[in-house]
Amino acid sequence: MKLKKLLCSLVAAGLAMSLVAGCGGEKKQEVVKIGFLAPLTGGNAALGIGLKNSAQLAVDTANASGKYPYKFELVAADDGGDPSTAVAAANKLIADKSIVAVAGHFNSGCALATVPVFHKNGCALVVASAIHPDITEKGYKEITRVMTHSNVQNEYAGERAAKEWGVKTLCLINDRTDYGKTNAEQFAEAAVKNGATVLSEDGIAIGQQDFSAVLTNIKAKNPDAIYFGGVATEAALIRRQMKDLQMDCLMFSDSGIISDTFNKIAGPAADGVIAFNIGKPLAELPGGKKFMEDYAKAKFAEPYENYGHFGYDAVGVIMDAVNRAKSTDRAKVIDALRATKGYQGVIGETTFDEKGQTQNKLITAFISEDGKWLSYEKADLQIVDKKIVKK
Amino acid sequence: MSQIFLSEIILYVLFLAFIIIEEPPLVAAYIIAVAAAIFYLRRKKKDKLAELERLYADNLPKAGLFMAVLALAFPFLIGGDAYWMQVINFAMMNAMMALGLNLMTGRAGLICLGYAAFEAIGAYTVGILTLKMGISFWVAFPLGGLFAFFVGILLGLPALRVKGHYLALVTIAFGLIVQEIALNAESVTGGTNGLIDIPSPVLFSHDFATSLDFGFISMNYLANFYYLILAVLIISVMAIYCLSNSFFGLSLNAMRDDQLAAQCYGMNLTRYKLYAFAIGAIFGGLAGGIYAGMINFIAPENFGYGLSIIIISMIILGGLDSIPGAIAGALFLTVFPEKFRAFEDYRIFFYGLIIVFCLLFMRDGVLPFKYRIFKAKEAEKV
Amino acid sequence: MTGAVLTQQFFNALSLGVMYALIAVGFTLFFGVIEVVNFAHGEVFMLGAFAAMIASGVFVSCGLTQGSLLFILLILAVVIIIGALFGAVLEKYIVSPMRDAPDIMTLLITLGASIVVREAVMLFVPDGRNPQTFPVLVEMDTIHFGGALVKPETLLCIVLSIIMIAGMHRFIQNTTYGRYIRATAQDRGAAMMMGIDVKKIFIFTLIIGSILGSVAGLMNGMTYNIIKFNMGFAASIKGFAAAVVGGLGNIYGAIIGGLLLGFMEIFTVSFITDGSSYQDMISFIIVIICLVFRPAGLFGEKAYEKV
Repeated sequence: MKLKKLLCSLVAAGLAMSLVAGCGGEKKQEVVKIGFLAPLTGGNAALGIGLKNSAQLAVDTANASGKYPYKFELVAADDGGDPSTAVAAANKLIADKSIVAVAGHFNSGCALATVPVFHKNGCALVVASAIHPDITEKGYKEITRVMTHSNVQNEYAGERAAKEWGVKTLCLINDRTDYGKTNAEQFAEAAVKNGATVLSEDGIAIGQQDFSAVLTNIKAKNPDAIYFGGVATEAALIRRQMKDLQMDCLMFSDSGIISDTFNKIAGPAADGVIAFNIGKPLAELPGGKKFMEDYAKAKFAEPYENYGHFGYDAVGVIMDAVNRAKSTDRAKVIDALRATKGYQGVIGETTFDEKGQTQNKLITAFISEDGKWLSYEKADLQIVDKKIVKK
Repeated sequence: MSQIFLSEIILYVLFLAFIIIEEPPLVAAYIIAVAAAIFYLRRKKKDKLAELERLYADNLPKAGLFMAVLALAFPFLIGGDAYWMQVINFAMMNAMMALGLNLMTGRAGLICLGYAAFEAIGAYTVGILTLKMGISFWVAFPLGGLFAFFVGILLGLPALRVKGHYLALVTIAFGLIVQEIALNAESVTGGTNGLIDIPSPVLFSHDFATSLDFGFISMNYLANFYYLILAVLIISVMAIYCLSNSFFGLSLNAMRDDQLAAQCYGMNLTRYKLYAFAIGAIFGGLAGGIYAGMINFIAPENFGYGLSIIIISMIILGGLDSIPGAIAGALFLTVFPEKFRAFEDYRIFFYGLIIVFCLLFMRDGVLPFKYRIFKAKEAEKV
Repeated sequence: MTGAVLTQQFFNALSLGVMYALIAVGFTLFFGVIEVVNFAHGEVFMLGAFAAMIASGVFVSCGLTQGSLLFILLILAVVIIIGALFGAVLEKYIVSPMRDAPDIMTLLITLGASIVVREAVMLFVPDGRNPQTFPVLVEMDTIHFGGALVKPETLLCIVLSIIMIAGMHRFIQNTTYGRYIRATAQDRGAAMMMGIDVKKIFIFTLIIGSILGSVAGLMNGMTYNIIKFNMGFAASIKGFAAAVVGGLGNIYGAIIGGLLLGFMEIFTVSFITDGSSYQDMISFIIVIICLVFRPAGLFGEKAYEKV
């Protein structure tokens, strides 16, 4: 380490010298580093890279605006979408003492694994888009989250399905991941509270291809709707096989399937699938337009994908907190973060409750139509008498 | 003697340099240089190497002791850098699993493609006992190993009846079944959510989740686990070494090379097979127990088929049935991919390539096992 | 459970079982003749599906009409060629260098090869990480069959499988090359002494088996319309399990093993509440129990040395 430090300081000194020599008289700003964790590789890499780019955009925009007396810098690390890697990456960021706080995470499993690490080390973590309720359940003061947790989404979804669309009988399928299962169970709970009954509950395996047996069973029960908790591939296979079995009941799902991939691989069968997501289509959000323009201007190689704006705001909240704390001390930043009130970001207003959970509770129902995801209110397809029909 | 110390220090410095160099191209260049050096030594200085090997064989306790001392100093040298501590901790846990698997697959020739299941069993035992029943980690941890031992016997039972390729399927199925049980038995294992907030071990009122303070230097909490894992690893190595060189170990070799002949010599294959599975499983269970205590969060997805394959590729790279090989393979294959985080996607691809290339061109691995080096007794030398 | 549901489940099981059987036949053929378990067999299944998808895209852009007979035959040809190539390359560079090594080494190297192929498709095929849509090759209406709905593709697959397995059987029983293969399977040394070029037979066997695998991949794509780089893994585990249950080396055993596995899975789902959560577990437990009582599978040709 001695050697490493020596080398590092030598290199750093050299770099600093050349920088100083290069751009002499610029006003000196304190550099503040913000860590960022996202799955930059592995199955969720596309979403993770979108998150990271958006976070970078937030930092660049803030630096360019001159709003803050600091110069922010983003240090991204890869959580690989897998808990062990995430813990290692979190440790890597925490070990860098110049990092004041960390934002990020897409996978709930990763966040659940790193939450105790951040707690033990007294470093703030602003979770961007992992939705498991337990992440903020412990109420550690280090942990905050800018995304609404899945409960809120599913309560809304279950209630709307049962009340507005009159779903009385329901069959659940989940992919036996924490994500899919949590969503399915919470949705069912909310629907049951509003008068629906659950006829069956089936778990499937990720990578499974044949759902004909499960669907045949469900068809025999003739439910009003199927709720699938999981992600795009299995959802598309189920949807296609539903069509093969000529099942015309409604299909609901979670935000995991709101992607172009689902529409592409489910093909024409995708029409009429309804999925719920936290937030709104970007274009309908207060800062969404500007975010999209800025993102386009920044010319990132990859799109911001579904959750980019959450990464943008997670980092934004940290910068705001650092500014209010007027300090780069980790403990002070934590206090400032928890005191965040009415922060105006792309996803709306962020105010944390006593557990560090955002009080922003925007939920939208999306419907797939002609290979695109539209918010239900703006779509041509609608539910009439528990069937999808064209307006 | 000095030759041993010198060579160990050289190896140690090489390893430290490997950890410290960060830039992927430099790492690649470094690895190529070291590999070329090893190749050169193996080709041109065969006698010197053989002599060194003999020296090691003659002075094994001292060499081991010195190696352990060097390992103790490791956290100080990297200054308690949390990230590398974590990586090295994982590497040593993998080394334990590689040793266990090596006993089954390398020494006894019983293929096992579901070894991750034993880690899962250890991890879940510790997780459930400490989290749900409030039992101390230090009680739960050996129980994890013990439970893995019994499950090893359980896996051994069908394995008694089937052989070779059939066994491969049985062990794959075993790995998947254990994972499925963890997934489905929700009330006990937490199902897909796994077990959250497993307590960290506490030793003499020192919480392992707090930093390790030496007075003059304070190190990240991972240093606690470093020393725990190191201690368990050293005991594991000694245990495996003794077992391998005992009559039991030789019998396993005999069984691997020719079951029929071994049986004709009166070996009780049933018992040896069961033991090979059960004892090999212990190390996986122990590694899993530490995993649960260190990460505080376990879920079924952590112990999948992929992990079993990674452990297998470690012992293939190191050389089947070779104890230093298993450790070296585990250290290298855990640290190396960390150097190429940016190429993380290629990680599994790379493991596959390692398996194929090692088997095609270097079937005995990097540190091949030497058959029965019985040295002449002192008296006979005279 | 009504009759219609039962019939439906029967067809579901049949289509799944046939798919498993076709993969299992490859496994059993390799084991019977070359005495290797080829874990890379699942990858030829995946490659077959990807080849068909890419070929279909190319042919459409060349102006061929989708669904025409020529179109389907061309795709079938591409799939067969890919399968044959894969088999030949596998034998030449992976399997044959390991001929004198212990069994476990061959098994491990094919495992390594399968990882390499699978990951290579993920990394190097454009957008290979994401699931791909498999084009609809034949446009037909769903068939009603005693209250059950059967996808025409399913029927086509069943028919195609029967043709292929029967064809292979005839080939092995009635042709000179088939006789060579049987001779090699029976006694490699004796076959060599009778002037059979055993090496050629090895390559030949891997080619035949791999063609069966790649056609199974094509059929899988047609049935489910969605393919993914990792589809070969599940297929190879299930196919291997089916071959083992039936007894490695016995072609009829493999077919029955495949059907058995398919029916077992579907009926677990049909008759047990939330059976789908347990279907893999139950079928693997049954496989293990099966092996405990019949260590060489249900129709194993030779009993293994008992321990």
